Amino acid sequence: MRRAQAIGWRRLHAGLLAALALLAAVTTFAACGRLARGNAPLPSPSVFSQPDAWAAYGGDWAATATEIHNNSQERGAKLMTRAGAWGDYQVQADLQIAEPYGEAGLMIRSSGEEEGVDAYHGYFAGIRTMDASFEFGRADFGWHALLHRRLPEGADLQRPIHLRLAAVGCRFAIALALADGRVAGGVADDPDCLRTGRFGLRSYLTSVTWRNLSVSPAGPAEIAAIEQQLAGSPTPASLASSEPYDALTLDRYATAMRAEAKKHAVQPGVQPIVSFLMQPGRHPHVTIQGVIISTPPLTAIQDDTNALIIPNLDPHSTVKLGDVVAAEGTVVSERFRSRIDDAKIRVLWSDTEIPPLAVTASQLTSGTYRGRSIEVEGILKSVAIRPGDYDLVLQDGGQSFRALGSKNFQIDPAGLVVGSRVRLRGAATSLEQFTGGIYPFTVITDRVQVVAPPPWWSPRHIVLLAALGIGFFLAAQFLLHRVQTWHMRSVLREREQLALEMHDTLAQSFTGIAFQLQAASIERRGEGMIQTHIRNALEMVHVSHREASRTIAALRPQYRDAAGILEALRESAARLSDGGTLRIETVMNGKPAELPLEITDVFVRIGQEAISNAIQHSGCGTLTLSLTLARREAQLTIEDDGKGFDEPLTPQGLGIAGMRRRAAKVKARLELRTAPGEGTRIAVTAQLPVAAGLLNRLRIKLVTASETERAV
Amino acid sequence: MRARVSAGIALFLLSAMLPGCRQQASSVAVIPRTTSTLLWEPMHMGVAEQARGSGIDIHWNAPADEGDSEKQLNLFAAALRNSSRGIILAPSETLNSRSAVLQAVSKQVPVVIVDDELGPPAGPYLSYVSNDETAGTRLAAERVNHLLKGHGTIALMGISPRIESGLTREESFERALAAIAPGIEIKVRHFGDLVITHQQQIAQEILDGHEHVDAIVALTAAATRGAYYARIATEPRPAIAIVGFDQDLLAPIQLGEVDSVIVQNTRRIGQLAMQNMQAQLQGAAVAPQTLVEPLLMTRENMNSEPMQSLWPFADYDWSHAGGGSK
Repeated sequence: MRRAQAIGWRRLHAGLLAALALLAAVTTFAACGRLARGNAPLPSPSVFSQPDAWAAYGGDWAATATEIHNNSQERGAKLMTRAGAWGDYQVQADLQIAEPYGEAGLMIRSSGEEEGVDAYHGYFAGIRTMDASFEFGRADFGWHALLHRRLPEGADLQRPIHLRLAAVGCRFAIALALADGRVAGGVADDPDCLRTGRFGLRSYLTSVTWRNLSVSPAGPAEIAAIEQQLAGSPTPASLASSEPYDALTLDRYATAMRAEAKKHAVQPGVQPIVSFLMQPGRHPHVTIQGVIISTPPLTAIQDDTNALIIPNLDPHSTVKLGDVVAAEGTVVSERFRSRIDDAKIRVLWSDTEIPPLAVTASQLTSGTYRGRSIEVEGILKSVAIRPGDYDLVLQDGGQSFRALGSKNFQIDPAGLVVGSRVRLRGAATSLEQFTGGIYPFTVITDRVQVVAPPPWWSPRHIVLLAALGIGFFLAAQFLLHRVQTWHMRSVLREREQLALEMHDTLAQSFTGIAFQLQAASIERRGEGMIQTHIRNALEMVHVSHREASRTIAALRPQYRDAAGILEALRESAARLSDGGTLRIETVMNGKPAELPLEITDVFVRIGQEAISNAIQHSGCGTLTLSLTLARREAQLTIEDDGKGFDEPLTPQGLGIAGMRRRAAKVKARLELRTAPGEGTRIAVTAQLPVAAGLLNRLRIKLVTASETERAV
Repeated sequence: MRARVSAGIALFLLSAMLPGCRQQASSVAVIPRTTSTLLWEPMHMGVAEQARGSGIDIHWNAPADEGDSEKQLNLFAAALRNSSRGIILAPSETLNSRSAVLQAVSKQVPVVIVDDELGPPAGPYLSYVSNDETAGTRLAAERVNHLLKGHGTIALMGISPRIESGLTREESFERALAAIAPGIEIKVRHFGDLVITHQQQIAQEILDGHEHVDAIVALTAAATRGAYYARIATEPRPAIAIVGFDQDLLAPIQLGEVDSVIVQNTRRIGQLAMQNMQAQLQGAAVAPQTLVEPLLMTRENMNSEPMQSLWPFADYDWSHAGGGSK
């Protein structure tokens, strides 16, 4: 029965352990985000227009139901799906690349993305306009080309190209379908491939539009289909990854670079903005060249000298922040209202960011920096997030102002919490259509950055803190109450123990003394018997005195120290053998330390009992008291060289049974070794609790240190 | 007893699981001015080659825009936050990188500065590995002397005030030119940033300007590209020689549009920087500053072995070099 029970316990124990390990593993992996993103189904195209579905790493992204644009010419801008670690799948889209010197394409099985040109672990297939080629390879924060081939002769890179990229096992297939129907592509193997990852879009030095993006599962059939699709087409020439170029490639490079260079050439007839602002009035037929620092609803252009608003900009205009444009029209110079009317805007190139001026709200109120690219900070007072835009009210010092902007891939609405300190970048205006006549100015923002979260002393946090404080107070009270109860119980238990001791010793002795004295008073058998009764009574008085002394000694706190226990026992032995020739030896082994109270009590009591027995019954000449302290146990030994006794034949009236009972109270082990003529050795061994040992050591160190300090 | 053993095993399991969440605790961060260019990828390869087999992972990344010092400092701060073992940095701006580097050094994180003279003296936690500007500018001065046959005028553009080594390069070139070709006069000097369109405009002003010059010496890769773009965007094509610094595009040299470029041996710089880092991590002493001789690349020698040894990075297997969080 007991065996079956034990097996049951072991199984339960093993089960609990396994469950704990599983819970630990699941918790850890979930916390590390490794399970969360795996095994999700491939997304449908309907989610591609939602900013929440993507994470942008650089670039200036926008999406509609059918298109995704990157308006930036940043090198290596990436837009990655937020979730997913898929294995075998294919991605395809129609790409339209704007710049003659750029590259764009699709990413597959990617992870660990950061902002940076090749800052990801994954695969990329892209179309390069700079040398009219396509490329496939793997990035591990460094690019390793696996396939680089020339596009078919005369490929029109201004028109959309359909790009399909499939990954199955460690085989990758790339297919490009040009607008004229010709196809190109290839198959590449990466033996030590990355097996799972997200997909995404990537561009390099060009703005790009991806249309009809789709993703679907893939298998060997898809790879075979691509291979079949390519089978009818001539295999394009491979390009060496290292320079120099062959003549054809060199010619393509030269063409692309010439187009790029001509695009960036300085426009003739350009005049600085400030030259008109100093002369109030209308200035027709003016050409200015500057950078777009703010986009609709308030379009503004800035050059090295000043800034202008471009009102009534064609809503279909594709100008974006950082575009360098040539604007031809009529400059109207008015106080705070300078603008260029009827402007014909021509984008020259992109991604020329003007560093914003860091200003305060009061500086903006004065009007000096209005219209310029600025950065201003304030405390968020209200937040209104709408489907396409946001409307914020902020305060900086005594100034309240408003901020308007369009929601884009860079803004996380969840981070905009009232009370946060935020930094806005954009252009400020006092036009009433934006300020509503309420605010001194409104910032048309393109970037909102949370500088600091709301302070912890918000009313909500103070209430939370107060609730926590009350909780802690109540918990402390509860604990205090429990400790007091426990202490009271200990005291009562000790009193009960004391009462039992007194009942067993003193009370019974008093009864015996009373009995003897009464017997003496009524004794009629002669003087001798009366004397016998009185001697018995006196003997009992002595015994009771000794018992009382022992009880008192055991209660004295100085005996908790190991050396103190030995000294107390030595004194006890000396007292009992007063006037005799008994030699008492004490031996201390190990470092002196304080022992737990209950063990001290047991050692003192057993020691006194053993000493008493040795002196009264053994006729010994030498009594050795030794205390040995080890790391985990303490042992008290009382050894005499007296006459000993035959243990099995001796009744337990010598107090041995009591000693065993006391030892058992603290789970100590009592060993008796004796034989007639060979003396007696009694050893009691008690286990020391680990924590108590550590605490005792610490306490001794502290006490020693404090005593040393006092001595100094 | 059994309960204690169970608790012990459970605690062990939990503690064994927790390190799985950490990322890149033992890597060395390498932060050049930008990545994926002919100037910086050879350094990537040099660093990776030196680190391979040493048990050191490298975390290689930099801003996409070479002049974006704010992003570069963010990467530097992230490397410190992520307890990188050391950082190799090519500062985009000398002055605003000082505090960050000194902070790392004060935390006893070894730093190797590449291609800049930051200011703080080298020590147990800081060393410098740089392109030898004196040798490079001497090569450029000799090339200009060769092209102009000892007489003529030149424009100097792309003087980079944001990087100490840029100013050193300009001063050094002027000294070298005065010594080698006293008959050649610098007629125009232009400061420059790292925006190619700005450099193109500056070059176009030089080409359209009143001061005739026989050659343009462009002191940065951006200035070299700007000068080249200005040249090919101008009709008729001006007959002006361009001598550039820091490898960027090879096609213009192959086409003969750019006469020559002083090429930094960044592969060797990367190897030496990682060598210093390994020594600094072990507490060994390293040379305070190590200079690496640059090379002159012309149309004639661009296929030579020393030049070709810089470009195999496109075929390098980066999957074992660490980098980023996997």
